[in-house]
Amino acid sequence: MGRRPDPEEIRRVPNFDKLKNREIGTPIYVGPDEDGNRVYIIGLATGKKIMAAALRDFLLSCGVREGDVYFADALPGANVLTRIGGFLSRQAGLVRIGRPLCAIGIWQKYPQFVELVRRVKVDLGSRPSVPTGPGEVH
Amino acid sequence: MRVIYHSYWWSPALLVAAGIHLGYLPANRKPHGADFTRLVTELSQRLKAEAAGLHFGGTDGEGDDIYILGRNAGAPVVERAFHGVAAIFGVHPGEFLLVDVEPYEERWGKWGGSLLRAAGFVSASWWLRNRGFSRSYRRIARLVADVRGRIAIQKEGSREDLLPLLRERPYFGGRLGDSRGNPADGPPPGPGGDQARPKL
Repeated sequence: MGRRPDPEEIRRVPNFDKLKNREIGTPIYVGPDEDGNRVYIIGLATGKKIMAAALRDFLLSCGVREGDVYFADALPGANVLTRIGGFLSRQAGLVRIGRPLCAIGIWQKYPQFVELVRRVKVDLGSRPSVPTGPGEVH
Repeated sequence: MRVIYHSYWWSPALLVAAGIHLGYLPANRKPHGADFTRLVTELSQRLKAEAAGLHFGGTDGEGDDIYILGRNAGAPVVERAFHGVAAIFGVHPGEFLLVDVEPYEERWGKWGGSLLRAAGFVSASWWLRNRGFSRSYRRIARLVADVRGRIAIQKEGSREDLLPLLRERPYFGGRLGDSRGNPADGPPPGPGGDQARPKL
């Protein structure tokens, strides 16, 4: 979070621009953060707001505590370049063109992603109860 | 058991499926004219007024909780997301059933009705929608009966008398949560009215 990686470094992030359409909706475990929260990524296509709310409602109805799950929308950090790159790579199959564009777009907006993560960590830290459940979905 | 009926946006077919399951609407016949229109309109308005997310419809006679979800993502995304988060949090797949209502909708009622309403022809929209439901109502009622049968199978375990049903109708043999059934027209539900169960 202290420095800005170059686009090539961003491209080397595991799973970067490599998820297939059939994987949209499947939560993918990324790893634990420094506080032991389990971090996942999940693509929800066009229905992200409704789906995030529905998944939270569903988990609560199943007895999962409110503090045990946190959804953070990462898409507002994506600019036009990222979206075009993502479309070219994932939809049109033009990976060689799309992936670098996507990485450059992320690089341009990198401070916003850092800010998003900061905000999430502040939210998690300000919660009344420390999560002890099986996972945090980010 | 939690049953989650989902369909594209707040489709009337979604409301009808939940309505039949909860006994608000008859399973063996299509309700007539104004009553049906008023009921679906009221239900639709009530749901739209509430926040996005999973809406709890009620509990049926068997003690199963019925939810509805007006999604704007594809059904496979919904399936993967629910099963994925359920696995993360240790929710057993047998505790919920996702049922996609969209394949059971009649296209003329769905798209024609929406387009006419968007254009301001509300009466024509409801006429077209009702016409669509005349064709799809029994299919949706049959779907609900299938869902009830499937839940019964899940609860009963491997009863021998259910095995022929599993062989005859692959829909029942699918993974719980894999709600892609066969939307083909089946025979109308029996005379048991709202509590009609599939012939086991």
